[in-house]
Amino acid sequence: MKNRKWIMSSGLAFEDKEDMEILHKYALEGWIFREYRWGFYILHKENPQNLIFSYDIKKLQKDEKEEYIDIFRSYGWEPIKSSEKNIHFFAGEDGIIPIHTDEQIEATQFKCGFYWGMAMFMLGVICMLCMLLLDIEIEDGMDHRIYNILGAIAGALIGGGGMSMLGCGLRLIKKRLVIQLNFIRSAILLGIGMGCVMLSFIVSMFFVTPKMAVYILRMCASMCIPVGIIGILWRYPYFRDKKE
Amino acid sequence: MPKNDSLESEQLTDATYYILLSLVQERHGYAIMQYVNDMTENKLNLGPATLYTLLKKLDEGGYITQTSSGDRKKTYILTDKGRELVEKELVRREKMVQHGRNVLKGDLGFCF
Repeated sequence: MKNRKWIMSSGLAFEDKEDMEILHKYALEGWIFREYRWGFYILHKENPQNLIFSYDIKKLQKDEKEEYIDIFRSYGWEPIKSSEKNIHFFAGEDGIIPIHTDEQIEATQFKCGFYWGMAMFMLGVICMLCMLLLDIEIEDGMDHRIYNILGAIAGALIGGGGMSMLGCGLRLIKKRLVIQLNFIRSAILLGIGMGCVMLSFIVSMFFVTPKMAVYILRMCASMCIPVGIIGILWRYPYFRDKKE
Repeated sequence: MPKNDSLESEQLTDATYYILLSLVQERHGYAIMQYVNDMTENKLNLGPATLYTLLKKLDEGGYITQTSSGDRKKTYILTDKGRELVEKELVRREKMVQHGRNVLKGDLGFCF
């Protein structure tokens, strides 16, 4: 019988309240959130506890961390191990004072994510421009690969960076983008991505010299496929455990 | 978004105002929260993240300073600059109350 569960985070900029509520419900059933690693909440099977969870995104210097944790502890918020240096998770008994009591200050914690997202997005746009403007005579061999690679990187950066920027940016103005990426929508996205890939091969078969359309299609695929896979992985354990 | 750098040019939020008041006497984090909670009769709650952020901001601005007392618990106290700031804020809020009282009493006199 497994005693660990890995639940994928839906992205703190998007559905953090929902995630924390899910973690609370799991705790009531004996699955306690004990570690955050690489975007996953790792739950340990223990006795049921009425715990609530919360987080704070803050960059701390080495000598500030002790005071920071002390203050939280004195309220009853215990720190949870996290692989992200700047994302601090906490567990507390149901009913204690929330970690954030000021909306404006709570909003500012997404500033870092916004700038990172913007940097990735711009990098992706640069990659895409390189791909479109590098008008080299396309021959068989290396050149194909350059375009494929640039396209894949551009797609991932534009998609990932764009989503981060959008999500964090909205949180900074106290709004929220709720994606509600469920199992079916993820599967559809994955299907669209695979469709783009297949279409790109069909197009390349019809033309002796490959067209830019082929690489654009593959770029779109590299935006859709990861999101589709993430959506399916993310939702699968929860889908398996509960009736939606 | 308002610039948070200089507090002197802006009005203080309730949370900042009360934290400054609580630090007329040397206090540490949780004690600040309890003091503010008691004084406002449970109306103003300061969560740990909010409290920590504001304490750091006030410390960096020179309005409060850390005092080294006791073992681990870091305590803070108001500086002269901080006292000036809270006194200015007090005057501002007093004026607001006065305006309100005048208008609602029916006097349309101007306050100079």
